[in-house]
Amino acid sequence: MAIPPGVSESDFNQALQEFENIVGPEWVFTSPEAVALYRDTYSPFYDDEGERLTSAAVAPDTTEQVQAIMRVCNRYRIPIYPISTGKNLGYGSAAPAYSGSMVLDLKRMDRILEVDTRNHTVLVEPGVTFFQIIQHFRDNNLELDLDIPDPAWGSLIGHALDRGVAHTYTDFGRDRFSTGCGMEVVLANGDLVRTGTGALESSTMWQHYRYGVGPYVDGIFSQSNFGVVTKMGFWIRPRHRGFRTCYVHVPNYEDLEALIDVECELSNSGINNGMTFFGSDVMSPFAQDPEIRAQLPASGPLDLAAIDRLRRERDTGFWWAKLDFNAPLKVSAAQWEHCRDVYSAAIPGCWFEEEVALEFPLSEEEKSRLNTPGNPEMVHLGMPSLSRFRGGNRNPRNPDPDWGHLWFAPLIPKRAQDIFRAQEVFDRAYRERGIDAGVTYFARIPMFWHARVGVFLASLSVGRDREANRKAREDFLYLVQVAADEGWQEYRTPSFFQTEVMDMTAGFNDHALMRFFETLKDSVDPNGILSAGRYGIWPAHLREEKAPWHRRG
Amino acid sequence: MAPTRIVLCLLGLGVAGIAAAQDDEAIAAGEQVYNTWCVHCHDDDRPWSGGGTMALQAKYQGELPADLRERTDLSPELVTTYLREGLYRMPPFRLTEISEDDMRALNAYLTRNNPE
Repeated sequence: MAIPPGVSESDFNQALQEFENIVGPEWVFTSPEAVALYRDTYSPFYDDEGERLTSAAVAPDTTEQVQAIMRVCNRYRIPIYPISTGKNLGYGSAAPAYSGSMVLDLKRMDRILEVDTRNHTVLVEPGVTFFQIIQHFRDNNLELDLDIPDPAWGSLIGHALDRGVAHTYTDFGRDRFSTGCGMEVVLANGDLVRTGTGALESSTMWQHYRYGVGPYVDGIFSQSNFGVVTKMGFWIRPRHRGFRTCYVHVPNYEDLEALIDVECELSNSGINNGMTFFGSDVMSPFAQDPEIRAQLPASGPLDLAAIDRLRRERDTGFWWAKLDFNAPLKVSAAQWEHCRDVYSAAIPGCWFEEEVALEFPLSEEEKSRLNTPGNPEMVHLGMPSLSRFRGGNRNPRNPDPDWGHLWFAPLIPKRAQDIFRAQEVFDRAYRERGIDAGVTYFARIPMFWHARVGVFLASLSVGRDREANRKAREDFLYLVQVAADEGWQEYRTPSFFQTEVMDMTAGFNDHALMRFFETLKDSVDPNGILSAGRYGIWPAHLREEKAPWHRRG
Repeated sequence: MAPTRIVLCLLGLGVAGIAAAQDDEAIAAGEQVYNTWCVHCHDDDRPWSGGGTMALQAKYQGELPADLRERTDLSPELVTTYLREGLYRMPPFRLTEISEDDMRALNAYLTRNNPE
């Protein structure tokens, strides 16, 4: 049996006995087989020096049990790392940031506690998944929906706390944390707080007004450094009534600027209310035309004149914007008409295409077309699935699949000149590191999950070849530094690189933000038991060893 | 037939009946586990599937059914190993997700078509 670092064997045994008394022996996992289930099989450190491993796990069923576990951890100084459903694949999964920590597995706490069908809120526990809550709505004929990510087997709370993103309506969970309303938190010392109006014991508006009185503190409980969130409220939405997807095509390379700027106006005014995708008619990684493909080297500058000639011959555009509207069709018809008017005035030569207009509930025939070319993906309609795995699984074009991936995910301003700059910078970085970019880096456009920034998402492959994994790790850190040098920070990052990323991207004023986090840590979690190392926040006794900004003095 | 033997035969039939009922119960429970945890990838390969069936189709090229529910050669040991260790993009499933009882039921379901 592994023992957490800094803990004596006798203390650990005593603590395990106390954990068993709290949750029952069947929910304390110490056997090598049971503990191995918490390994991160997507990790580039897998089976190599530096892999973050778990010493044991405990799985409570109630908030009171979580409180009791925190008290035991404090008594014996046991590092513990909470997970909700542990499905944060590519970002650390169920493994702790500080190797040897115990895992606090909250999956058993999977109750949907309250659903307000009139004013559209829910209160849930950490183990509740997107699959589960949508099924709950359907089983109970509740006219409710929720913006969901794909894969949908993740936790609502975990998704929010790790700043996860989704795909549909701007205000209903595409930026999950922004829809949170009210938390119940077990602090590291075992005390229990409720945030917002939940601080009033008799409150009937805990899920309706998020601020309460006094400082708004929910943000510090994201990423679980200072407390374990055992309940969280969310604003959801009435059931989808209609969905419309339309394309705006523009003819010239330089039109990307106006294409995005106009979309900002439409999106930020709420007229285009779905998630917009931008892409290229001629630089798509999926371009099948052999003449076009010949113009798309994996790296290096493009012959834009040649591509433009091919575009004209084929009478196609250079860029497109795919606008999604989540509204009844009568409403979205007017929204789309307005978008066409604004684009026509702003970009000479642009043209429009309407891909699909759907009313809910969908017919079986409409459902059968989802996720096929020319039709929406389920996730864009708020329908849960795991379809994102399809891309990485074995198929005729991918006969030798990898085992995971590492998300390099820098934020980029939502502006064409920054996107062009990012393409140039990362193309050069990929060439310097010998990373295969696929068709061409210049086809890459950020994902606009967030309202005002893009995520220049790129995955680095993880397998079972230690040398290749070592290179992926070095590539990742190199790319993070390249991005930081340009002023671009990661939007979230894998647990095993969080200290390095915070070092590279949170250095303003001698890492003042990190020092502030550490001050909070010392106050709220003086024994440093909770989530050691999560996003580079280490307890006092480990800072000198683990936090580079302290080593540098 | 002597009365004692008749009683024993009836008892035997009863035990067999109980065992069959228990099997049916386990298979039904296993199907539920499958539909909770597995079917999103290991289905009949609809376009929104996670692609487990697609991957097995690419692997077996028709030599074995790509849909796990149609297999007649799966062993409990194999199923348990894959679910507990993970394989390629499929991560391992913890005991808080698929318990030992769930695993037994799932194995009953996935081996139900195996020849005796």
